[in-house]
Amino acid sequence: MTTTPKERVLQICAELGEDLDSPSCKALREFIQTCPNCAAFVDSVKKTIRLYREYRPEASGDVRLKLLKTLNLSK
Amino acid sequence: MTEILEKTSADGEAALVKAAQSGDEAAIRKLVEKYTDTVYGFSFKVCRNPDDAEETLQEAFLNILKSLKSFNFQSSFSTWVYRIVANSCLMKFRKEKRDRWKSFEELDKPEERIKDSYDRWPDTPADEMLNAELKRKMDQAILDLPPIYRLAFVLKDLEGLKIEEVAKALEISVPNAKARVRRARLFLRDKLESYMES
Repeated sequence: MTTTPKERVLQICAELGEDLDSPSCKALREFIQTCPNCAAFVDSVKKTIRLYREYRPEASGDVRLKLLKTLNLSK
Repeated sequence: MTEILEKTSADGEAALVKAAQSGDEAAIRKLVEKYTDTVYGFSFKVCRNPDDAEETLQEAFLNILKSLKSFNFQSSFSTWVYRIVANSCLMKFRKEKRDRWKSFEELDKPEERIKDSYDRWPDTPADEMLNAELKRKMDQAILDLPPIYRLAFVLKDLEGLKIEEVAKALEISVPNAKARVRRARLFLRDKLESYMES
């Protein structure tokens, strides 16, 4: 299976810095600024992650009470 | 006991865990309350369904309390908790034999699930940016990910764990964890490609 240049950029980021904002990945991003398509691709991955991060669900009061009851920890 | 319960540092948490391991019910309760949102949030992000998330929450905490004495402080307590929740999620998927277990080769089929989960997302200011169609796309995309990739993505990119912690939580090697995260990111990004320019 061949790897596209865009996939390779992400692969390098993951293997070097693990995070897209890590110093290694930032340096790589600076380099790929000369490659508009590559930069757009990395930005799109960051945006994907940001979209998923927008939503942070919390357990409702009922859910908490049921949990404590299930665990026999009700006051 | 009160002094212990008020501490929020790692040392404080270690003391809290030790007290819980010794059977101190107040400490156990405090530990459960402290991690309820973490476990529920993680479960929801993986299951994309409030009922499944609640069920996973209960199963996970039953397992956490059952195994609490075996926690040996070799990893952070939160990583250990994530490992148990991840296992609870995988057990649940296996038990129910859901059609979510798809290979990447099968993933290009038309949308066939997600009917009402997107409209359960609460309306928060941040959420206003996301229209219903996008939410549906996001839910569909993450549900299309095989669970092992989904868990890695949620742990790394949504819960913010370090890749080494992801590997520990999933009981896999670091290179394997990186590969799963990378593949999940690429898959989700491609699924949401039409929204990337907006």
